Amino acid sequence: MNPSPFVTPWRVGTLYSLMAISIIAFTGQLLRLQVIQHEEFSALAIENRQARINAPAQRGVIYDRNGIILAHNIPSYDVVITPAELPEDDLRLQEIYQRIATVTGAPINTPPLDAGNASRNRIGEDAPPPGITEVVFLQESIAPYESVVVAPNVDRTVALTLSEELRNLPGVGIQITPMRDYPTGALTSHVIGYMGPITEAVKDFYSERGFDASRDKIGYSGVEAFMQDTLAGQNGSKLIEQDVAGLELRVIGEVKNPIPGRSIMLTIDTQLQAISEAALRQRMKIENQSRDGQPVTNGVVISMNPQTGEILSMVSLPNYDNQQFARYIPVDYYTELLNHPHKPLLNQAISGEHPPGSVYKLVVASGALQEEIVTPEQFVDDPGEIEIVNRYFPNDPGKTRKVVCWKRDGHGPVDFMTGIAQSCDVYFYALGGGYEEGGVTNGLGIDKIFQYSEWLGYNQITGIELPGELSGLIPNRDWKRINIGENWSTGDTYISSIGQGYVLSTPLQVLNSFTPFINKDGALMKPTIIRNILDGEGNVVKEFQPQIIHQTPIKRSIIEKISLALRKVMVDGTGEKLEELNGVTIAGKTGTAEYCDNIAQEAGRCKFGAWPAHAWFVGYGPYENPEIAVVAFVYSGEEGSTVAGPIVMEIMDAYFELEKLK
Amino acid sequence: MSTLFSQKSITGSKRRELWRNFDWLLIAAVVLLLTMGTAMIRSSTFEHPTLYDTPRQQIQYAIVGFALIWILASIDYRYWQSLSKFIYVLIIISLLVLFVIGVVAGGAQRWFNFFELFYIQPSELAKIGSVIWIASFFANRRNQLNQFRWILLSIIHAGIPAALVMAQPDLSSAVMIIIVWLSILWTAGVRPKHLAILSGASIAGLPAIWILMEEYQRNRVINFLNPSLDPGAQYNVRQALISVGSGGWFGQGYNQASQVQLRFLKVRHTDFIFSATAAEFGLLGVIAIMLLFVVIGWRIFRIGNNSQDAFGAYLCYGMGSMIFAQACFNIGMNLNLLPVIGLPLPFFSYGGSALITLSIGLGIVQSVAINQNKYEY
Repeated sequence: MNPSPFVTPWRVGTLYSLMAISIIAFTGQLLRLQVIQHEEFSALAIENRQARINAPAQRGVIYDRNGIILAHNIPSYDVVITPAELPEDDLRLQEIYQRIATVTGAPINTPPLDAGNASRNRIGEDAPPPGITEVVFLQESIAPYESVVVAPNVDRTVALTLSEELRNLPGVGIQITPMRDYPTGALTSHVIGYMGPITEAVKDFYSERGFDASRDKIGYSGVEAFMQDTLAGQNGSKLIEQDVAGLELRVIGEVKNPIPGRSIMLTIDTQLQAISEAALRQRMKIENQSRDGQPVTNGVVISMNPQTGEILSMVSLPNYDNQQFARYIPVDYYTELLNHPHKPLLNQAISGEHPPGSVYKLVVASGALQEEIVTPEQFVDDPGEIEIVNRYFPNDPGKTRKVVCWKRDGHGPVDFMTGIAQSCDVYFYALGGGYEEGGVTNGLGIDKIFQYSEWLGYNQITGIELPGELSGLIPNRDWKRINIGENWSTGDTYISSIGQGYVLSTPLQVLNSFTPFINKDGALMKPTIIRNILDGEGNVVKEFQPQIIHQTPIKRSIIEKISLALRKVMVDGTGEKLEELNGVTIAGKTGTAEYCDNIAQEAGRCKFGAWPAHAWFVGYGPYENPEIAVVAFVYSGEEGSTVAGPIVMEIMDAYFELEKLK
Repeated sequence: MSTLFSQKSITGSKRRELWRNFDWLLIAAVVLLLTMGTAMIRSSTFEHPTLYDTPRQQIQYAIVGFALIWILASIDYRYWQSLSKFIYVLIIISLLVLFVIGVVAGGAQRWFNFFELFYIQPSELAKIGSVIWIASFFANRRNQLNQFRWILLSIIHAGIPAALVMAQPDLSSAVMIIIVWLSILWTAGVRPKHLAILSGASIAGLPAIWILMEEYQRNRVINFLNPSLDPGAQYNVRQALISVGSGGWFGQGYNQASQVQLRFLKVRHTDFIFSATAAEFGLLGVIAIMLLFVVIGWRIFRIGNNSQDAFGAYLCYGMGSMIFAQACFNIGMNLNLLPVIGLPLPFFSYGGSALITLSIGLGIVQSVAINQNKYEY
């Protein structure tokens, strides 16, 4: 061929070369993407189109022993918008937003930052709630076929009003989600607890168990936390195929339906709970009217059926309103609770550790008889004050030191029954540490005191179904060496004998330590708060059976002797001034425990010889066949018999009145 | 009429002889691309609430396109050479008017709307027009190309419409005009020394182009050079890569690829239709498409080689380069080898304006073929 003069073959050849180069480059890239990385990209494509949908399980209900609801799920009405279904016309759109804003009060546009009302904010959120426009705009860019909440938790009437208008409001819906509701609020807050979001720290744990960390909540305290696994049930799940907008197209594979959580019936009697709280508040009020200085605000009341260990009421003051935590945890309220000196969020019935004082004397009393330190009939003289020797090791000459009885002129000659009934401190010093002049050569000693304390349930948790229970403290030689860095001294034994010094216990421990004597059979009951576990239809799945922690190895005769002494307390002992109940024989024990903690220290109340004191009282009845045992503890209450005693008597009175009505 | 259709012959028998040179292989490649393209448009817009009708529209455009190929093939291409100055001025004016309207309306303007009946995109016509007057320019000064001033003059000639198109802003059309100019300049016989000088100057002039670019165009370049800068803007490319990669050797099947059918791939019936095809027809499917473009390029360049005059040859080199370059830009963008400048795949992507323009170009090329040298080989 004869090429034309205007065609230069090598120049056209360059164009062909460029074509070839680009095709080779594209083929290379295609081989890389479609052959070498095929698996990887296929996996990404599957990830795009598949989604696991988590269906929430209904949480169980919590009832009191009579079926009164203490925690349940109520519908929360949220106004939601599905962006993909909104009308295109901007005017119609604004009309819809305007209507929602008018009815619910939600802002159309996000207000500027400084307009925020801090009390409406949630933890970690300092900004005011975002406006409808912004919420919808964001959702449209993420998942336009999924609804988004624009006005949370609206009134039921508002929800119903909007429901009727939904035909004219395309894209708008009312979403009903279950929300935890606590009808009895603060009255049972320490027992029931509250719920909160799944935090980052435990996210993996709960995600593995099928929870949706962004949606589901878990129990933070009380029964809600302790029985979390029982109450929560098991979320359902299904794998779906979705399109780019998140629209569910079909279900892939097996569908796991959610399994609703079990309901729980507590042993708590709401009526008695209310009476207990009222009695405690009322006594504090009376006490505060007659004293100067710091008012009494902190106290505990627990009542139980001593034969079964069932807790009938458990009040800890100050308390908090768990209903306020139902939807989210409000920052202001929560911070206020955290900074309160008496820790309202803590259930002091199981988490408050205080010196028990004279209610602890049962330990030394039973030990002294069983170990034959004294005979029940033996008299020990109480001159009001005695001199003891404080030795740090056996041959230590020691320093003498005076210890006094609460009754400064002394009780005179005291036998076992009177010792308990009068709560004679000198008698118990003698039993615990020895008092040669009074005829007690060797006391029980700290090792035996420690052993009998554990036999009566001290220095260990009771195992009640509530989180955060503390074990209190019974000191011994090892403990002091390790924690104080000193040898145990004989003085420590004396002070421990009357439940002061290092001895600490929770109100529940104190109450429970009486059960071997109340039932007169030596069995230390296991206190419980769970009566039944029910399924969704209310059928009992698991029934409560009374349990004992252990059988104390204390002789039956000694148990009976101490029981008689506890009755004597009310007849002619420290509780004699307490009014007897109509037709019911009551027994009990007072306690006034001197203390010096950091609160008292800050207030400058720790004065030698005039220590502040907690008021304790444990009472039970009928003495012959006890149905109820109550402990009252008033922080800084000063006098067991006059402050704590009347609370217990009032509650027992109410209990027997209620029983008569049944 | 007679002059318009053929300077050489007015007798029927002679005309039949001329049509014998019509390039049927080129048309066959285009028909195959259009068929596959329409099928992929249907798959990409299947049951889509607003786009479901696009395959039918594409077929309509294709019919109009074939009519245009026939009409333009019948018109002697040398007629356009004599009209090239007029075409040039007309296009400059329409681009200017559009620019002014754009300034007044305060936004990008790319379309003329004629009484709501049809839309004209002057930048598309400018691409065809640029081939005509650049080919005409170099054909007229073929023997003076060793003088650098003519090359500079051609830059000004091509630069004015390119700058106006870029101002719309339409980066991709501007790039196409520059490619047409470059390919004709090269085949017309620019001296390598001069080309080296131009390359040096243009590298030095890059900052100026950078300043002239719109913000979104700059972002596209920045995003291409460094994808980690803006993950959101990289979504489309990311989904395109997943679509291509998930296709494998043979693809997931027509109307079957989840990336396409569940709409994870965006603009899948226009800019990213290549990825959609890769997902549904696999490596073999897209290699077939690329080979069809090679056939088109080869046939058009071949027509140019056989042209009876320089103008016809340059027309074909420019047109062939433009079509092939456009395909390369689109495929390169789909494979994350080139920045996303928004060019559709010729004869494949949905779009009436582009298809009509390409048909006009193809008709002119066929006219060159019909009127080629009588010598055959």
